[in-house]
Amino acid sequence: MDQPTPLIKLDGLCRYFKNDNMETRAIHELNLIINKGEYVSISGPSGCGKSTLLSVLGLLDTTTAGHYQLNGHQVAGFDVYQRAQLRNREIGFVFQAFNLIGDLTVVENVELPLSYSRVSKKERRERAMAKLERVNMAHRANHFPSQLSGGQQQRVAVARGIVIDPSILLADEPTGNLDSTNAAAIMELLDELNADGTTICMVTHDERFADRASRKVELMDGQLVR
Amino acid sequence: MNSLIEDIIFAWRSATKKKAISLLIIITFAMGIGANSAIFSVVYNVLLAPLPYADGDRLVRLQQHQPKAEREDMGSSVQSFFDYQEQSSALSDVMEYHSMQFTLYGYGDPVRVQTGVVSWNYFSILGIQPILGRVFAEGEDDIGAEPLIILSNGFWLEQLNGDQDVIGLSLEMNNKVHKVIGVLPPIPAFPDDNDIWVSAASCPFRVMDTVVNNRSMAMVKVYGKLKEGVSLEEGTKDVNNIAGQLAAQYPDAYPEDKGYSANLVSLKEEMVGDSANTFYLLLSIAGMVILIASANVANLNLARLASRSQELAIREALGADPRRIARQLLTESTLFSLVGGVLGLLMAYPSLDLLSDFASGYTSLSSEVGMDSSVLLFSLVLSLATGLLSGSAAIFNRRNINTSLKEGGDKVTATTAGKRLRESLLVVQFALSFVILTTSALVTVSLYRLNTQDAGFDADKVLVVALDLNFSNYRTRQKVRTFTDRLLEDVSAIASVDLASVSGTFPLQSDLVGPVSFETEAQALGSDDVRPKAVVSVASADYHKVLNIALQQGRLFNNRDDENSVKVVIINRTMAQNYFGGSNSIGKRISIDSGENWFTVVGVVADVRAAGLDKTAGDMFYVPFNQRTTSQVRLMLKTSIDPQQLKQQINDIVHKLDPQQAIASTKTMQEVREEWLESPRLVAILIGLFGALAFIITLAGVIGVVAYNVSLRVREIGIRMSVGATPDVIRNMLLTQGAKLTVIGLAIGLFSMTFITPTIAEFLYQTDPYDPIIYGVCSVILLIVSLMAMAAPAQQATKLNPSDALRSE
Repeated sequence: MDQPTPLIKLDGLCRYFKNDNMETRAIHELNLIINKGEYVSISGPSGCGKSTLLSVLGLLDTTTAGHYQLNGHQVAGFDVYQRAQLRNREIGFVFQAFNLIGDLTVVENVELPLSYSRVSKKERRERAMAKLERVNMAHRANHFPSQLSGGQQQRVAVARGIVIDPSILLADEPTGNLDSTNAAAIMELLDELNADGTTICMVTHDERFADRASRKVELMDGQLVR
Repeated sequence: MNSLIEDIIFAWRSATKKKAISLLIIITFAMGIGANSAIFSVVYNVLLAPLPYADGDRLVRLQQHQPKAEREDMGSSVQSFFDYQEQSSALSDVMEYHSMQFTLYGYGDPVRVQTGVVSWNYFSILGIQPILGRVFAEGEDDIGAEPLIILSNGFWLEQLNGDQDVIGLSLEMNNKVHKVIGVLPPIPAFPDDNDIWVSAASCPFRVMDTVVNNRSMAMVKVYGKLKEGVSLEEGTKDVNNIAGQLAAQYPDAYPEDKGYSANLVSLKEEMVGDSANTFYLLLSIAGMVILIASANVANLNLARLASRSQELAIREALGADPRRIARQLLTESTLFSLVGGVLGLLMAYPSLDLLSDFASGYTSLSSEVGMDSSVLLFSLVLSLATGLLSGSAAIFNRRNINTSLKEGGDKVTATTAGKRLRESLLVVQFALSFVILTTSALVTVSLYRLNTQDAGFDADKVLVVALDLNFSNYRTRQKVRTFTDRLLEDVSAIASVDLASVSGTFPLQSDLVGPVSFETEAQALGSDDVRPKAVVSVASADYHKVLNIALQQGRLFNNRDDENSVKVVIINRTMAQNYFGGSNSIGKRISIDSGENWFTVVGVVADVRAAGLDKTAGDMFYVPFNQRTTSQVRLMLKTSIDPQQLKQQINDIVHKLDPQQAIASTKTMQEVREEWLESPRLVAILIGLFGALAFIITLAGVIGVVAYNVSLRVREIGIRMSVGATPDVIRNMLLTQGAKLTVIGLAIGLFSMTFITPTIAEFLYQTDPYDPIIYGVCSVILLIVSLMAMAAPAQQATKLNPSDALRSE
């Protein structure tokens, strides 16, 4: 059996916030490894640091201390430009609130990450349409987000998340704003993507969905408890 | 009523909650409404308000013409005035007027006074009540009547210190004692800015038999009042009929070959002159400023509404009547505009003196400029209209309640409601700003070209002293010559005076003589032929040297050119080219009295822009002062020091020569030039101020709207960052979007200029109204400055933390 290859390696990671002379330890001395091809769920009670951890993993936020290695890159000292480029190359996001841009059509939303890398317009459109087909939303390519249901919007968000073929897809409560039917459909989609080789790290507070991951990680007061 | 009060209270609370944006809206309204109120105070009081005289809309001036001799508005003789007075069936009253310059003695130093000479009924027809004493009574203009004076308000205040006991005061003028009988209220100086008024009986010229009974002596202006119900056209028909009868009755006085006609023009039109275009241009530009301000506020309202759409949707969901919500929005907007209007009026009030001074360059009605009830009403209506206009954009752009509520649920990025409308309004602002900026630049370039125009003479270190010799003391040419010879001798003795001359006029002065008809020997015109015309100037030796007017052929005048020598003239280059082939003028002769006397051309000098810096020189000739003396003496000195320093010395010399001689004015030629430039300069300054105002409002709007758009797009920016957009990408995206709007605005502004330039062209001097360089520079300035205005909020956007941005509401 092949030795698993680490994609993400956190070593003593800390993220503290200071407000009015009060320090909040959102993440404290956290060690975690996520291997390529893994499907990891992060769960825990509200305020335990799940979303902060996902932001740090997605390079949307910086660390206070510790080491963070992403696909061989030590990212702790990266500036805003380096983080943006790495994010654009390695990371896909799926948010609870979908976060589609209302002014852009469905296909334009999916193309968006490619527009920030040197990909020709034609290739952008082809790759975006392929991913929309992958999530069964190609027929809505020219619609605007406001014309779609919540489940459809989240499918589009998933397509946008995988359009760059990221090293890892980070999903923050992807079913939080969906009814049970649509939530189940999105979870199936994530299962399929993982089965196809996409590494997934999902934050959820729903035990049923957390159980679908190949590995469950539980967070409490900014530290791993399991 | 209660709900309206509730709306006002809520609007006030809402305004105080967002102080910065509320203040920005109020200041924007204040600047726009203030500018419009100030200009409207000029436009209304000069162009729209009834004349400040009794039955002002019925007052007219009678003009007489000799159309076949191309002689227009030639004035009237005393006899024809009597004829119109007796025969007109359209005019209820007819009055005469002319203006003279006399010297007044008896109250301090002799003072030269501009004197209005009128028939007895002049003031009573105009309905002017004196503030002291009385006006003329019937019979007081009969020849032999007691000499009486009515003082203008300004003269009374300045020269007699507002002396309340002035009635009955005896003043000497034209060797006669005149009794002061009244003081006028402050009325528009019309037809001239007269210091005092006398009746026709007091004018030594008007009472001369050769004037009273000579129908060719057209020295008076005739005014009248139309009978009630009679139109201007009917009145014109009536006086023209009378002119026809007079022509038939007196063929010698009104020769058929010259023609003879008469018409009426309204006094209002006469007083407004050609100022209307200037004032309407300024009002149009001020109108654009208020449009920019309204668009700006509408944009800010839309931005405010965008952030409140969920609040308003919740209100509606809870049962609020949509009309009530609309009224609430309009109340808020109108409250802002009214507060802005009050502030605008306070800002406009101090500018009225400046505007009145500006308008005085065009019309005597400038004295009426003020902040009266009509201006206040205009400001109120404008405030309400702009408030409703800018508020209605928000109402028409309100979103579907369901959409607003759904968007509150974070399904897509923050609302994009009104984005298009906001951008359209910004485009409108850019377009209007471009129009104003370009107009301002065109007028400024035109002013610069006027300012640097070579007028054909050198104004440096030249002093002009205007002396209107007292008619009673200088009745003969010899007396005038004796005075001017001694004057020149004395002033030439001053060490710092390099050259001295006397003349009848000087360049850029309004009372140039002519044009007079002339003929050349070669033309051999018959008595019936229409003669060409030229401006004539009387000048002594050294006049051309004082002004450094270049001699091109022959010689200049010298002291031997007097009444005992051959009559000579110097002509200008244009006249030499037009009549003598340019290079062969010396020795040729011209006549101005149908061949009775001939003047030999002894010199050709360079053209001088005598009538104005903007007017190319026409035909002009100079006659030696000692061959054609005039009591209107202009002493001109070229000095080696600052000419201002010589004013007192010259004053002393004049009073030593004749203690009773008043000095009308002492100015340097630079001052004369500056005075001439004052009106175009003020137009440029006003348009420039409006341009700056429009620019400031637009830029404030750009900063406000872009900043607001960024705040609405925080989550979108967060999403873009989350998928890899760098800060540079975000900044460039925002700047590119802003630049696109600017360019669209510039394109629309450029297109709009094609409709506006024909109007602007008449205000421009040697400036192409489509000058591509001016248009290009204005475009680049607007683009760069707008990008600079957008840079700050765009830069702010790049500093957003994507993690926080994604969580933003």
